[in-house]
Amino acid sequence: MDAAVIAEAELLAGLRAGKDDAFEALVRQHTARMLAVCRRILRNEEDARDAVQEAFVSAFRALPSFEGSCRLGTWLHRIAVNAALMRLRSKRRRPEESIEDLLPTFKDDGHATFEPRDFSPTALQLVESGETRAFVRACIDLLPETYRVVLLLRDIEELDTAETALALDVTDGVVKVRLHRARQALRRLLSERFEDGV
Amino acid sequence: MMTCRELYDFLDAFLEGSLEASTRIEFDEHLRECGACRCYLASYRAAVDLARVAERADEPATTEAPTELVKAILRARAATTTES
Repeated sequence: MDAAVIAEAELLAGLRAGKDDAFEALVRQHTARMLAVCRRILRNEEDARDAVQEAFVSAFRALPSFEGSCRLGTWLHRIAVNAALMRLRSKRRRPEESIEDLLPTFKDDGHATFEPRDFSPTALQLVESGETRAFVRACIDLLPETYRVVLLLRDIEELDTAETALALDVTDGVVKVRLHRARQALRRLLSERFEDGV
Repeated sequence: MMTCRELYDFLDAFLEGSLEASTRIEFDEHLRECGACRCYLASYRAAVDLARVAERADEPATTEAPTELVKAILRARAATTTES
Protein backbone atom coordinates (compact mmCIF):
# COMPACT_ATOMS: atom_id res chain seq x y z
CA MET A 1 0.00 0.00 0.00
CA ASP A 2 1.12 3.57 -0.75
CA ALA A 3 3.00 5.24 2.17
CA ALA A 4 0.79 8.34 1.94
CA VAL A 5 -2.35 6.19 2.17
CA ILE A 6 -1.00 4.41 5.25
CA ALA A 7 -0.04 7.74 6.86
CA GLU A 8 -3.53 9.10 6.18
CA ALA A 9 -5.19 5.98 7.60
CA GLU A 10 -3.09 6.37 10.77
CA LEU A 11 -3.95 10.06 10.97
CA LEU A 12 -7.64 9.27 10.57
CA ALA A 13 -7.47 6.63 13.30
CA GLY A 14 -5.84 9.21 15.59
CA LEU A 15 -8.54 11.76 14.78
CA ARG A 16 -11.30 9.27 15.46
CA ALA A 17 -9.68 8.39 18.78
CA GLY A 18 -9.68 12.12 19.64
CA LYS A 19 -5.89 12.38 19.91
CA ASP A 20 -4.64 15.97 20.19
CA ASP A 21 -1.48 15.33 18.18
CA ALA A 22 -3.55 13.96 15.28
CA PHE A 23 -5.68 17.11 15.20
CA GLU A 24 -2.58 19.28 15.33
CA ALA A 25 -1.02 17.31 12.47
CA LEU A 26 -4.20 17.68 10.40
CA VAL A 27 -4.33 21.43 10.97
CA ARG A 28 -0.61 21.95 10.25
CA GLN A 29 -0.83 19.82 7.11
CA HIS A 30 -3.88 21.46 5.52
CA THR A 31 -4.18 25.03 6.76
CA ALA A 32 -1.98 26.66 4.11
CA ARG A 33 -3.84 25.08 1.19
CA MET A 34 -7.25 25.86 2.69
CA LEU A 35 -6.14 29.44 3.30
CA ALA A 36 -5.09 29.79 -0.34
CA VAL A 37 -8.57 28.62 -1.44
CA CYS A 38 -10.35 31.03 0.91
CA ARG A 39 -8.08 33.93 -0.12
CA ARG A 40 -8.96 33.34 -3.77
CA ILE A 41 -12.68 33.33 -3.09
CA LEU A 42 -12.81 36.12 -0.51
CA ARG A 43 -9.89 38.36 -1.62
CA ASN A 44 -9.49 39.51 1.97
CA GLU A 45 -6.94 38.12 4.42
CA GLU A 46 -8.98 38.51 7.59
CA ASP A 47 -12.09 36.97 6.05
CA ALA A 48 -10.02 34.14 4.58
CA ARG A 49 -8.50 33.28 7.96
CA ASP A 50 -11.92 33.38 9.64
CA ALA A 51 -13.31 31.10 6.91
CA VAL A 52 -10.48 28.59 7.40
CA GLN A 53 -11.14 28.52 11.12
CA GLU A 54 -14.87 28.03 10.51
CA ALA A 55 -14.07 25.29 8.00
CA PHE A 56 -11.95 23.38 10.51
CA VAL A 57 -14.61 23.69 13.21
CA SER A 58 -17.17 22.27 10.72
CA ALA A 59 -14.74 19.52 9.78
CA PHE A 60 -14.10 18.55 13.41
CA ARG A 61 -17.85 18.28 13.96
CA ALA A 62 -18.38 16.29 10.76
CA LEU A 63 -15.44 13.95 11.32
CA PRO A 64 -17.53 11.09 12.75
CA SER A 65 -19.51 11.00 9.48
CA PHE A 66 -16.40 11.13 7.23
CA GLU A 67 -16.57 7.86 5.33
CA GLY A 68 -13.11 7.96 3.79
CA SER A 69 -14.48 7.77 0.24
CA CYS A 70 -12.05 10.56 -0.73
CA ARG A 71 -8.76 11.87 0.66
CA LEU A 72 -8.90 14.04 3.77
CA GLY A 73 -7.37 16.90 1.76
CA THR A 74 -10.17 16.71 -0.83
CA TRP A 75 -12.80 16.62 1.89
CA LEU A 76 -11.28 19.61 3.69
CA HIS A 77 -10.95 21.49 0.39
CA ARG A 78 -14.71 21.19 -0.19
CA ILE A 79 -15.46 22.28 3.37
CA ALA A 80 -13.15 25.31 2.94
CA VAL A 81 -14.90 26.24 -0.33
CA ASN A 82 -18.28 26.07 1.41
CA ALA A 83 -17.07 28.12 4.40
CA ALA A 84 -15.67 30.79 2.07
CA LEU A 85 -18.87 30.89 0.00
CA MET A 86 -20.99 31.21 3.13
CA ARG A 87 -18.87 34.14 4.30
CA LEU A 88 -19.04 35.70 0.83
CA ARG A 89 -22.85 35.49 0.84
CA SER A 90 -23.04 37.10 4.27
CA LYS A 91 -20.94 40.05 3.05
CA ARG A 92 -22.69 40.61 -0.28
CA ARG A 93 -24.35 43.99 -0.17
CA ARG A 94 -24.39 45.68 -3.54
CA PRO A 95 -26.61 44.50 -6.40
CA GLU A 96 -24.51 42.75 -9.00
CA GLU A 97 -23.57 44.57 -12.20
CA SER A 98 -24.39 43.02 -15.58
CA ILE A 99 -21.85 40.97 -17.53
CA GLU A 100 -23.53 41.70 -20.89
CA ASP A 101 -21.13 44.49 -21.90
CA LEU A 102 -18.21 42.05 -21.74
CA LEU A 103 -19.80 39.35 -23.90
CA PRO A 104 -19.22 38.95 -27.65
CA THR A 105 -21.88 40.33 -29.96
CA PHE A 106 -22.95 39.03 -33.36
CA LYS A 107 -24.42 40.30 -36.61
CA ASP A 108 -27.68 38.88 -37.98
CA ASP A 109 -25.70 36.42 -40.14
CA GLY A 110 -24.02 34.93 -37.04
CA HIS A 111 -20.59 36.52 -37.58
CA ALA A 112 -18.93 38.29 -34.66
CA THR A 113 -19.14 42.09 -34.72
CA PHE A 114 -15.44 42.30 -33.85
CA GLU A 115 -12.20 40.86 -35.26
CA PRO A 116 -10.74 38.59 -32.56
CA ARG A 117 -6.99 38.29 -32.36
CA ASP A 118 -5.01 35.40 -30.94
CA PHE A 119 -3.11 36.94 -28.04
CA SER A 120 -2.08 33.60 -26.55
CA PRO A 121 1.64 33.66 -27.53
CA THR A 122 2.20 37.15 -26.08
CA ALA A 123 0.10 36.51 -22.98
CA LEU A 124 1.59 33.15 -22.10
CA GLN A 125 5.05 34.69 -22.33
CA LEU A 126 4.13 37.77 -20.26
CA VAL A 127 2.48 35.71 -17.51
CA GLU A 128 5.98 34.75 -16.37
CA SER A 129 6.08 38.16 -14.67
CA GLY A 130 4.40 38.80 -11.32
CA GLU A 131 3.04 42.11 -12.59
CA THR A 132 1.18 40.34 -15.42
CA ARG A 133 -0.22 37.73 -13.05
CA ALA A 134 -1.48 40.53 -10.80
CA PHE A 135 -3.13 42.11 -13.86
CA VAL A 136 -4.86 38.81 -14.72
CA ARG A 137 -6.13 38.51 -11.12
CA ALA A 138 -7.37 42.11 -11.30
CA CYS A 139 -9.30 41.20 -14.47
CA ILE A 140 -10.85 38.20 -12.70
CA ASP A 141 -11.89 40.56 -9.89
CA LEU A 142 -13.68 42.76 -12.44
CA LEU A 143 -16.09 39.93 -13.25
CA PRO A 144 -19.49 40.18 -11.56
CA GLU A 145 -19.27 38.06 -8.45
CA THR A 146 -21.57 35.18 -9.41
CA TYR A 147 -19.44 34.69 -12.55
CA ARG A 148 -16.09 35.18 -10.79
CA VAL A 149 -17.00 32.51 -8.24
CA VAL A 150 -18.00 29.95 -10.87
CA LEU A 151 -14.75 30.60 -12.78
CA LEU A 152 -12.74 30.10 -9.59
CA LEU A 153 -14.57 26.93 -8.54
CA ARG A 154 -14.45 25.30 -11.98
CA ASP A 155 -11.15 26.47 -13.48
CA ILE A 156 -8.96 27.05 -10.43
CA GLU A 157 -10.33 24.82 -7.66
CA GLU A 158 -11.24 22.20 -10.27
CA LEU A 159 -14.63 21.26 -8.86
CA ASP A 160 -16.75 19.56 -11.51
CA THR A 161 -20.04 21.00 -12.73
CA ALA A 162 -22.17 19.00 -10.28
CA GLU A 163 -19.95 19.86 -7.28
CA THR A 164 -20.04 23.55 -8.23
CA ALA A 165 -23.82 23.45 -8.64
CA LEU A 166 -24.19 21.86 -5.22
CA ALA A 167 -21.87 24.38 -3.54
CA LEU A 168 -23.75 27.31 -5.08
CA ASP A 169 -27.24 25.78 -4.83
CA VAL A 170 -27.94 26.24 -8.55
CA THR A 171 -28.53 23.81 -11.41
CA ASP A 172 -25.80 22.26 -13.57
CA GLY A 173 -27.13 24.30 -16.50
CA VAL A 174 -26.68 27.57 -14.62
CA VAL A 175 -23.08 26.62 -13.79
CA LYS A 176 -22.35 25.88 -17.46
CA VAL A 177 -23.84 29.16 -18.68
CA ARG A 178 -22.06 31.20 -16.02
CA LEU A 179 -18.71 29.52 -16.71
CA HIS A 180 -18.97 30.17 -20.44
CA ARG A 181 -19.89 33.81 -19.88
CA ALA A 182 -17.16 34.27 -17.28
CA ARG A 183 -14.52 32.86 -19.63
CA GLN A 184 -15.76 35.02 -22.51
CA ALA A 185 -15.76 38.14 -20.33
CA LEU A 186 -12.29 37.38 -18.97
CA ARG A 187 -11.00 36.85 -22.48
CA ARG A 188 -12.40 40.23 -23.46
CA LEU A 189 -10.80 41.99 -20.47
CA LEU A 190 -7.44 40.35 -21.15
CA SER A 191 -7.60 41.11 -24.86
CA GLU A 192 -7.70 44.85 -24.17
CA ARG A 193 -4.12 44.59 -22.93
CA PHE A 194 -2.61 41.57 -24.63
CA GLU A 195 -3.82 42.22 -28.16
CA ASP A 196 -1.54 45.26 -28.22
CA GLY A 197 1.34 43.07 -27.07
CA VAL A 198 1.89 45.33 -24.03
CA MET B 1 -22.75 25.29 -41.96
CA MET B 2 -22.31 26.24 -38.30
CA THR B 3 -22.15 30.00 -37.70
CA CYS B 4 -19.55 31.80 -35.57
CA ARG B 5 -22.23 32.42 -32.92
CA GLU B 6 -23.04 28.70 -32.77
CA LEU B 7 -19.37 27.79 -32.62
CA TYR B 8 -18.88 30.10 -29.61
CA ASP B 9 -21.74 28.29 -27.85
CA PHE B 10 -19.92 24.97 -28.25
CA LEU B 11 -16.48 26.14 -27.04
CA ASP B 12 -16.67 24.62 -23.55
CA ALA B 13 -18.01 21.30 -24.80
CA PHE B 14 -15.19 21.29 -27.37
CA LEU B 15 -12.55 21.99 -24.70
CA GLU B 16 -14.01 19.23 -22.50
CA GLY B 17 -14.05 16.83 -25.42
CA SER B 18 -17.78 16.26 -24.97
CA LEU B 19 -19.08 17.42 -28.37
CA GLU B 20 -21.31 14.92 -30.15
CA ALA B 21 -19.65 13.42 -33.22
CA SER B 22 -21.89 15.18 -35.76
CA THR B 23 -21.46 18.56 -34.03
CA ARG B 24 -17.71 18.00 -33.82
CA ILE B 25 -17.55 17.52 -37.59
CA GLU B 26 -19.40 20.81 -38.16
CA PHE B 27 -17.24 22.53 -35.53
CA ASP B 28 -14.02 21.38 -37.21
CA GLU B 29 -15.33 22.36 -40.66
CA HIS B 30 -16.12 25.85 -39.45
CA LEU B 31 -12.71 26.24 -37.79
CA ARG B 32 -10.93 25.19 -40.99
CA GLU B 33 -12.74 27.92 -42.91
CA CYS B 34 -12.82 30.71 -40.30
CA GLY B 35 -9.58 32.34 -39.16
CA ALA B 36 -11.47 34.67 -36.80
CA CYS B 37 -12.91 31.71 -34.88
CA ARG B 38 -9.49 30.03 -34.74
CA CYS B 39 -8.15 33.22 -33.13
CA TYR B 40 -11.09 33.38 -30.74
CA LEU B 41 -10.67 29.75 -29.69
CA ALA B 42 -6.91 30.16 -29.09
CA SER B 43 -7.39 33.31 -27.00
CA TYR B 44 -10.37 31.81 -25.12
CA ARG B 45 -8.25 28.81 -24.19
CA ALA B 46 -5.39 31.15 -23.22
CA ALA B 47 -7.70 33.13 -20.91
CA VAL B 48 -8.51 29.90 -19.01
CA ASP B 49 -4.80 28.98 -18.79
CA LEU B 50 -3.78 32.49 -17.71
CA ALA B 51 -6.37 32.53 -14.94
CA ARG B 52 -5.06 29.22 -13.64
CA VAL B 53 -1.42 30.34 -13.68
CA ALA B 54 -2.16 33.76 -12.19
CA GLU B 55 -4.25 32.37 -9.34
CA ARG B 56 -1.89 29.57 -8.44
CA ALA B 57 1.63 30.78 -9.13
CA ASP B 58 1.85 33.29 -6.29
CA GLU B 59 0.23 31.20 -3.59
CA PRO B 60 2.53 30.48 -0.63
CA ALA B 61 4.04 27.03 -0.31
CA THR B 62 1.62 24.56 1.21
CA THR B 63 3.80 24.23 4.31
CA GLU B 64 3.55 27.94 5.16
CA ALA B 65 0.58 27.92 7.54
CA PRO B 66 0.48 31.09 9.68
CA THR B 67 1.35 30.00 13.23
CA GLU B 68 -1.24 32.23 14.88
CA LEU B 69 -3.99 30.81 12.65
CA VAL B 70 -2.96 27.22 13.47
CA LYS B 71 -3.06 28.09 17.17
CA ALA B 72 -6.47 29.77 16.83
CA ILE B 73 -7.89 26.68 15.09
CA LEU B 74 -6.53 24.37 17.77
CA ARG B 75 -7.94 26.65 20.48
CA ALA B 76 -11.32 26.57 18.71
CA ARG B 77 -11.17 22.78 18.69
CA ALA B 78 -10.33 22.68 22.39
CA ALA B 79 -13.31 24.97 23.09
CA THR B 80 -15.59 22.75 20.98
CA THR B 81 -14.36 19.64 22.81
CA THR B 82 -15.00 21.28 26.17
CA GLU B 83 -18.52 22.30 25.10
CA SER B 84 -19.39 18.74 24.08
